[in-house]
Amino acid sequence: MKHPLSIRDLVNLLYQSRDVIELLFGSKDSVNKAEILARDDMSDEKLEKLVSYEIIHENNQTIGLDDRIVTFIEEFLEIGEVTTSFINDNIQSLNENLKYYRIDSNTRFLRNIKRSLKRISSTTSREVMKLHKNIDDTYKNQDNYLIKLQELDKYKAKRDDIINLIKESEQIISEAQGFFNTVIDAELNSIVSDLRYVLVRNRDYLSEIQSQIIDYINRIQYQAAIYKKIQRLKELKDYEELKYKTNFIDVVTGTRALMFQRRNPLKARVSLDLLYSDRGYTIIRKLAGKLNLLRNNQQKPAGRMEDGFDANVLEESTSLNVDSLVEKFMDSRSDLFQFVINYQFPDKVGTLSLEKRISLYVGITIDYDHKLSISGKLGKMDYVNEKKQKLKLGYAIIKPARKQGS
Amino acid sequence: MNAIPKQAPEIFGILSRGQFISANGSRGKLYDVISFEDNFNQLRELFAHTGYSLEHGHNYYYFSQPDEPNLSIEKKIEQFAYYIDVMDFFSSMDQKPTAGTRYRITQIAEECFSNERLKQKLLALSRREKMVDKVAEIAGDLALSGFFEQEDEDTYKVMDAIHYLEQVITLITIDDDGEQKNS
Repeated sequence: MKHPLSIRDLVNLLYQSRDVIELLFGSKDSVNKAEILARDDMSDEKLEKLVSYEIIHENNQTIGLDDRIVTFIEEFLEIGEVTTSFINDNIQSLNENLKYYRIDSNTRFLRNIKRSLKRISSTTSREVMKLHKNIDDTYKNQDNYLIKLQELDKYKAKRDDIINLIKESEQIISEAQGFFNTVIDAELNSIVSDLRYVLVRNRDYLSEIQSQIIDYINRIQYQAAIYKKIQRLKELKDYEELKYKTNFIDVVTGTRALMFQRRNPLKARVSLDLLYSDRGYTIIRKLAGKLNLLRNNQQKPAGRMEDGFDANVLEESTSLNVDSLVEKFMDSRSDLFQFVINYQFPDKVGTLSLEKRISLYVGITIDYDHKLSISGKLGKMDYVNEKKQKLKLGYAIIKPARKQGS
Repeated sequence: MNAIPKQAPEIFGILSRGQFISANGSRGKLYDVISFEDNFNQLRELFAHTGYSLEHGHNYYYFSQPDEPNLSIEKKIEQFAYYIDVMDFFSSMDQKPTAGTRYRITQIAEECFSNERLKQKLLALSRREKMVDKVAEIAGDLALSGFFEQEDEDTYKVMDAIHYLEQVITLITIDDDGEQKNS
């Protein structure tokens, strides 16, 4: 059986199972029982206790918070739907208690009057706050514009209700003012003046909210009007009447935005310097590959050249550097033939065959004859050729031409 | 006076292609740059030398060209007629194309399957074969002009620049022909 709960017990009970209550409140839909039982802070007995005190309800394996708890939390945190019934209830009870007190000046009724007045003040402020929050939320987060419009309309009606209730409260208070004056109670007086102030403030607040709602609704309706207009234009377009029944052509001709123009992106020419660079080469190659220009061209660019690939060329040029050879000869005292045959060429040039040396000798005599003095004498030399034949070689003895006076 | 923002070439690149810079898209940063302090006037002056005029609407920027060649008018009309079709298509859906709305291609295609009227509109708009491809083509088109922005493969977000189309549509007046008015 259910035991009556004291406030202390109730608060304790709520505190003990605070995590579960938070979870249940947070998830608007019911939660599966197994999920609750899987929690560390929940056991079968605990759950049963909560159910027996009607803090939570169990229904077909799903668990939900009791409505009274939900309402309490929502009320206290000023979230949830806006309702005018609380204000209304309090006004009713204020009226009744005023009537009773006039009949019987019992302090019990006076206490009730004070409580009702306080409640009117707090609930009115709370509902107005909620109203504002919900309107904002609806305008910003509701996707469907039809629902948005209707919800805003609903809040507009709610706002009117609250305004009426405020007016009603004000009227009751002003009518009862004379009566309040006869009651000598400091608390009552301060409550009444507080309430008057709160009511006036909320009325100001509500007129602000009113203009906001209207603004929101207008904006939505403006949007809606545009959509309707679009559909109407489309209809006309389908009937080929767009040009005749609207100023479509004029308007569109008048628009200056760039988006309606043919897009000519700015064309800059490719920098030639870039094409000569390695980066340019990669780009061109990629492009050629894309355009399939290389399909008949199996040639690939030669790989990196090996080090010293030009050594041969170098050798030639060293051996042909006859100028310096002649220079050296000019300083020597031997004759040209002996000089060329015996000259130690640098290692790079390698060993020159006798034939090469002879052709060099001949070449020098021809090209540099102005530097040479040909005496007309002959020298002789023995040598063995490749076929192992002994040969005798005769040559002209050529000496460097000494400059006059040296 | 501040120096001209360093993003100016980027901004010019986007706007000169006829695109928009919207506050609620990935180019929001550029929007903020233009809106920052005196930047709008500075850039406007700078770009004026190029023959384009920097304009701003409700949460978006775009270029306009004060003296434009006449030959593009026909093209313009044709193009806007296309936008009427497209806007008609989107505004016939449950979710309206307001700035910030997110459309999923598959979801639109799904809606077209079940809604014969939408289906007809869609069929007229694109020649692609599959429904999803049709929707993707249209959304891609709008994204190219800067009215939509692709967020991932399937999701498109409506940019603030959509106000531009709304603005032009508002400007058009329909002759009262005794037929259904504002039906």
